[in-house]
Amino acid sequence: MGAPQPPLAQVETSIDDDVVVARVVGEVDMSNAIEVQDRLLGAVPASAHGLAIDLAELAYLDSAGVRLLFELQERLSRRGQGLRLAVPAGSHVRRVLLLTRLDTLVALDEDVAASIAAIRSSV
Amino acid sequence: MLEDGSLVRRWVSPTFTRITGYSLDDAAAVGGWGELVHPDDRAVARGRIERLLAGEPDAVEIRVVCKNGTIVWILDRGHPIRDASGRVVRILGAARDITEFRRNEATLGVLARTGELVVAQTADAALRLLPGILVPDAAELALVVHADGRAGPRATGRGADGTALERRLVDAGRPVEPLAGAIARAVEAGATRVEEIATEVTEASLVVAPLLAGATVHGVLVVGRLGRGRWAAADVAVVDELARRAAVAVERARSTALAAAARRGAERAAERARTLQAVAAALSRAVTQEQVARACLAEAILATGARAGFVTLLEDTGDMLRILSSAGYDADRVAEMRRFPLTLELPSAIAARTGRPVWALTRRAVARYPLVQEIGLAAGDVAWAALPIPSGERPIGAILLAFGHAIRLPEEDRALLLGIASLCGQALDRARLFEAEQAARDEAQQAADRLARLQRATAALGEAVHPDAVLDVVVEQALAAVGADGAFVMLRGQDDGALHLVRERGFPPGLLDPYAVAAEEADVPAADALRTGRPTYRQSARDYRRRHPTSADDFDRSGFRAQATLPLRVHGRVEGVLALLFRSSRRFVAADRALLETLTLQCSQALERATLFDAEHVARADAEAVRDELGRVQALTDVALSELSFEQLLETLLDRVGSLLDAEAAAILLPDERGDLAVRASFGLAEDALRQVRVPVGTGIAGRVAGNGVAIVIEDVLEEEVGPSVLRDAGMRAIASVPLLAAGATVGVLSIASSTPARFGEDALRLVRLAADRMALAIANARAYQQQTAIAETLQRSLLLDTLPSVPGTDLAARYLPATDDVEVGGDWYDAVARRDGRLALVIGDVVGHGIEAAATMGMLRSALRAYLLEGYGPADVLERLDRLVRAVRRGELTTCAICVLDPLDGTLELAVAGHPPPVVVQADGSAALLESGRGTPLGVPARRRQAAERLEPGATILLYTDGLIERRTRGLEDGLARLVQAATTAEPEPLVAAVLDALFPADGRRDDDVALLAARRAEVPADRVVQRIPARPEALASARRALRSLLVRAGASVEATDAVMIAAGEACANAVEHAYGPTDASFVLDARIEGGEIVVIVSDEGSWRPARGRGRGHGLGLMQGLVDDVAVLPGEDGTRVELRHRLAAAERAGPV
Repeated sequence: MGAPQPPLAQVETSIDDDVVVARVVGEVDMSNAIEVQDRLLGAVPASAHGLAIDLAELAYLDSAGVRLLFELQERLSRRGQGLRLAVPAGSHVRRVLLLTRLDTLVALDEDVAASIAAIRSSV
Repeated sequence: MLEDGSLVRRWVSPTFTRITGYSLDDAAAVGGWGELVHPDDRAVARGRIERLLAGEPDAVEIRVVCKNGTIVWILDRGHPIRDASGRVVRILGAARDITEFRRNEATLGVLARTGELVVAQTADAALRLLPGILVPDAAELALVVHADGRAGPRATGRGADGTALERRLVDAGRPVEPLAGAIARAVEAGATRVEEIATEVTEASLVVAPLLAGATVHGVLVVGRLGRGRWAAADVAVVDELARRAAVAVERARSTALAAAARRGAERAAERARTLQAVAAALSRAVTQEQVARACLAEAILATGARAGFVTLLEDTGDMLRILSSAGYDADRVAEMRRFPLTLELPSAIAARTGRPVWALTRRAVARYPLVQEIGLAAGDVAWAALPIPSGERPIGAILLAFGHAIRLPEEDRALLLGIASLCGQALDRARLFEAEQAARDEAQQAADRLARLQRATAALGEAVHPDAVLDVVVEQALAAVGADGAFVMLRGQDDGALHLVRERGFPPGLLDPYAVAAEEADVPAADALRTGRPTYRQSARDYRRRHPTSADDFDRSGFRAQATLPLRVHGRVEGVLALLFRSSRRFVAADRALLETLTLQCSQALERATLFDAEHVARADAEAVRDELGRVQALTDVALSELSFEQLLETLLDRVGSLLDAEAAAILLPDERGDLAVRASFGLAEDALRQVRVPVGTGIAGRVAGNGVAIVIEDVLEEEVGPSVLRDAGMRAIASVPLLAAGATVGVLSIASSTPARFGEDALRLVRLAADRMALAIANARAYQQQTAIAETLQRSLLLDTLPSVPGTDLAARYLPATDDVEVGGDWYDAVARRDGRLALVIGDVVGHGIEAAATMGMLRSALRAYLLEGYGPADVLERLDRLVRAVRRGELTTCAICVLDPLDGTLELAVAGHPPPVVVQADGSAALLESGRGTPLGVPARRRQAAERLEPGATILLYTDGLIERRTRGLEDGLARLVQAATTAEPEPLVAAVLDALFPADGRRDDDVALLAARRAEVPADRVVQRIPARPEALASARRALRSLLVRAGASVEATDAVMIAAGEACANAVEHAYGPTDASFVLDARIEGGEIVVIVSDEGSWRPARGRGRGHGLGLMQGLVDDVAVLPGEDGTRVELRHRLAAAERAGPV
């Protein structure tokens, strides 16, 4: 087993007015996808307008992570809350999201500020 | 004076009236003056009147009863008055009260009489005198009241009056009121008092005077006068004085009596002391308990004047009393009674039981114990004293004393008797101790004697060798050991089971003759002992008669009175009896019995030993008689299994038979391929002629023997028609021909011949048969051996691998070399199993032993091992299962083995060893070491198996081998192991195996034992490749990615290509995890290599590819296809394999981004 490994992914959340901002750093795979999803959902109060996730520093995202994002979108939309992802153009994460056609359900922004602004403006 | 001469009182003075209370008229009313005079004084009064009438003046003192009933003394002076004629015509009287005077006079008399008191010898006598001194002169009533309040001696005067007064004052022997109060006051005051009292009858004046001597009140003197105020001070003083003197007299008398009593008491006490002293002296001379009891009883009887008595003692059991000594009673009666239970209601039993004496001193008290009368011992006893005999806290018995008359036993005498009993108790204790010591000394002496006798008997028995001698010793020693008068031994007959007399000693000649045989059911002690197997003891003629009524008369006539009969056991069976007879009755006490039974045991053992010796001796003699014959025949078997070939064997056997029987010719005929008999060995015959001889079964002598399986002996061939015969042709006359029988089948014929007719008798034939049997066995053995060897070789060959399995990442080499000096196959084996999971299982094993059995066990184990390994069990689990298997099938052979499972990808080496030599690991650089971990016991020994987890580095080799490689008869195991490690200098499997065999076996290639070797190498992994076995768990995915990333970085892949391959391969791995099923430790293999600017990633698992279901799922394959150049999913039976290919140069690839 060896020494305890550091968490594969870190999730930092903050609230900017009515928008929850989350930054996911590290790797997301099937071993921690559910945990990350719980962290993200738990950070969004019912009063919030929506969630902006900054994936700019995410090093690895596979289909388990993509599945997480699909489910997250579905739950937030049921609560009437918006979801936007900040994924820099040309990053492999954006490529994964495009390949899995997540962009058809969730809007992708170049940075998190854009995501926040878009959520506010949609209210 | 009246005419008739009577006197008429004409006048009375006032003084008269004052004194008497009567006026003139009053007096006339009661009948005249004369009536007033006290009856006692009336005669005096009349005499005086006559004298006065005669003209003489006169004076008398008379008592007059006053009108109030009191009595007064008066001095009555009369003076006659004459007329002219001188005739007395009147009497002039003058009365004077002289009562006081008279009383004083009386009291003076009283004092005068006090002298009487002085002579009174006792207080009672003095007190008895006292009232008489006072009454009637000084008082009407005198009464002594004792110090204890009882009314004592008394005297009453003046007729009924005094008596009446006394009755008023005393009732039921005690003073009552008002007297009681008066006494109390006087005693209280300690002084004489005057009390005036009035009762219903009369008034009285009492003087109450305590009889005081010092402070002691010896009683009270009450003196009474009728009427009030009757005591002058002087009177009182007289009474007081009298009381004082009486008290002194009483005091003196009492002290005199006390002194006398004290003197008498002292004398009695001295006598008692003398008695006790005498008892103590008598007891000190008594040594035994009985002597003590006798002395005690005699002294007690002497001291009390008893007529009879006995002493009883509690028996050791504590519930029975035994009469130890008696005196005065009928001896027979005492003997009858001798012992009685402690619980009986007998005085002695009660005393012994309760520890308290029983004093039944009157006829009536004795009647309370009717049981004594019933027993009849004590007829005529009127009184009893039963005294407990104390010893420590509890009585140990009682002394009973019987008296012929009722007696008074004062306290002191009772104490004396108890004292005697106490002395008795002490003496009995002492005597008991003495007797116990004496008994112990006697017992020790007797035990020593018995032991000595027993030792003598044992020694004597030990010297006797034959049963006959043993019986002599038995009888002799039994007689000596117990001092019997006669002894005999009877033994069970072989045929009839009855007892037969075999030894006797000490009996008149012929006495036992009628009893020489006793049936088992006979009514005699010997038969009893035989039947029951237990000793019987007949202690007297009466005892014998009670047990054996039908033979008792015989026993009586024999003159013997007691018999001990003891069973003799040989080999656990009662085979006879030893009887000891005594001419007088004899109590066989425990010690006697123990001695007899021990002695009998010794006798039995001696007899058993002698019987065995005898049997052995007979057997040895028999054996010696046939030793030569047997010896020669056995010589035949000696060669049977040696290195002789089959042909040589037959030749040798035939030679031996021939020489044994002094035969001139002999032949062994065995069936040939067609079944005809052919000569396979012979002597004394021309070989050339024989080579062609074929005897069909059923014809000729040998043919008939073979056909019927029955021997034929021909005394002279010339006398009989025997058909064609080589032997006859060779000039032989006598022929013995016997079949060679093996397992009931005729395998050939042995014929021997002699030129002397009738040369072969019964003995010879027996020997020929014996030789034929041995030959047949040798032939059968040889055949079976040949068959078995062939089977075992085939079996083992079939079990050893023709080709070793091919497992990627490994390289194998193996050898099996049979022992060179042994034609049999061994039980060594090796095995290599390629498992589905890509791992390689290696097995080496050794069933100790050789031949078909070992080979069969090996086959069974090998199959089981293979099955367990293919199932996926680890080495320790496999061993535990094998342990159970071995125990279940109970194969006797010791089996050792070693099992390794090597994962070629990461070098993990799981290892478990069951009593097998340690494997050798040779590193890629050629350094070698023993692998000592994972060791355990050989198979079948219940144990928890341990499993070691080692690691085989890339390029390193593990070498498994059997002990034939390292064990030599000429050197130790350690030496062999050292040589092995030294010889292992290369990790290449084939060269390693060859080098080791070269080094450990000599140049001529000879081997004592068979050897198996198996070497497996983990291939070296090149730098441009990553091969990893990854547990099928989500947490393991990150580390797989790290390994892949490092390969991509080393290969200089672009960031884009790296990211793409990472995600695609990650998807493939995640699929393998999702597909995993079955055992929880499922895994998959990631194999990635760089090939010509392209990376090839192969992910292979043991599951089957399953399309993902559900929303958001199923992106895996799409991602892979979208990210890398080529994706192939190859489902197979054993799992799924995903192959990814991607060019490393990022520029060449145009993504959709």
